[in-house]
Amino acid sequence: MGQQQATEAMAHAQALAVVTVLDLEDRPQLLGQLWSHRPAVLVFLRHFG
Amino acid sequence: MFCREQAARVSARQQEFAALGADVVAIGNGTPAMARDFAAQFGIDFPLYTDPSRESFRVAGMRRAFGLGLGTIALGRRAMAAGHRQGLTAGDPWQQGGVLVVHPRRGVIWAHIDAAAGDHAELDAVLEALRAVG
Repeated sequence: MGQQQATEAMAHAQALAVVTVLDLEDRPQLLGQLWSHRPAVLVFLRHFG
Repeated sequence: MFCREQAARVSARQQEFAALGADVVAIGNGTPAMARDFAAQFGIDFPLYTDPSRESFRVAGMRRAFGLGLGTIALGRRAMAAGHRQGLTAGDPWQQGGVLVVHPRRGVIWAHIDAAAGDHAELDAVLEALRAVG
């Protein structure tokens, strides 16, 4: 991975990290906490159906 | 139907992700009640979140696509052949999905943005990306 790609990869993660989603009990969850210690595979589902 | 197919595919490979030190997390875009129903109905065994605002989808780079192309119809036959059926759509029907792998020190190391419904990420490639970063 080149320097520019590496920078973009970190910038993309930082932009995502500050987004809040909701857990099943309607509590806010900061996305960045999901990969603060280990990698996370984020599966974006089209819908629940 | 495609969501169920994707959830089932990910669930079946979850131990392989865990063996590489990664957590699997799913994000939908309906209400938390819809997410609870989906998790209970399909026995989702990984953390499930929802984002009714779809801000995370936008920042992640996921698409919104309209209509069903021929490719989607063919993929629908595949999903149905595997026993997955379309339920009542709960969430934005035009929002497309995808997969991102995010590493604490390297950022987004792998991404698949679904071009259309049913165009799911190759999970072997996800595992390979995780192995590559060690």
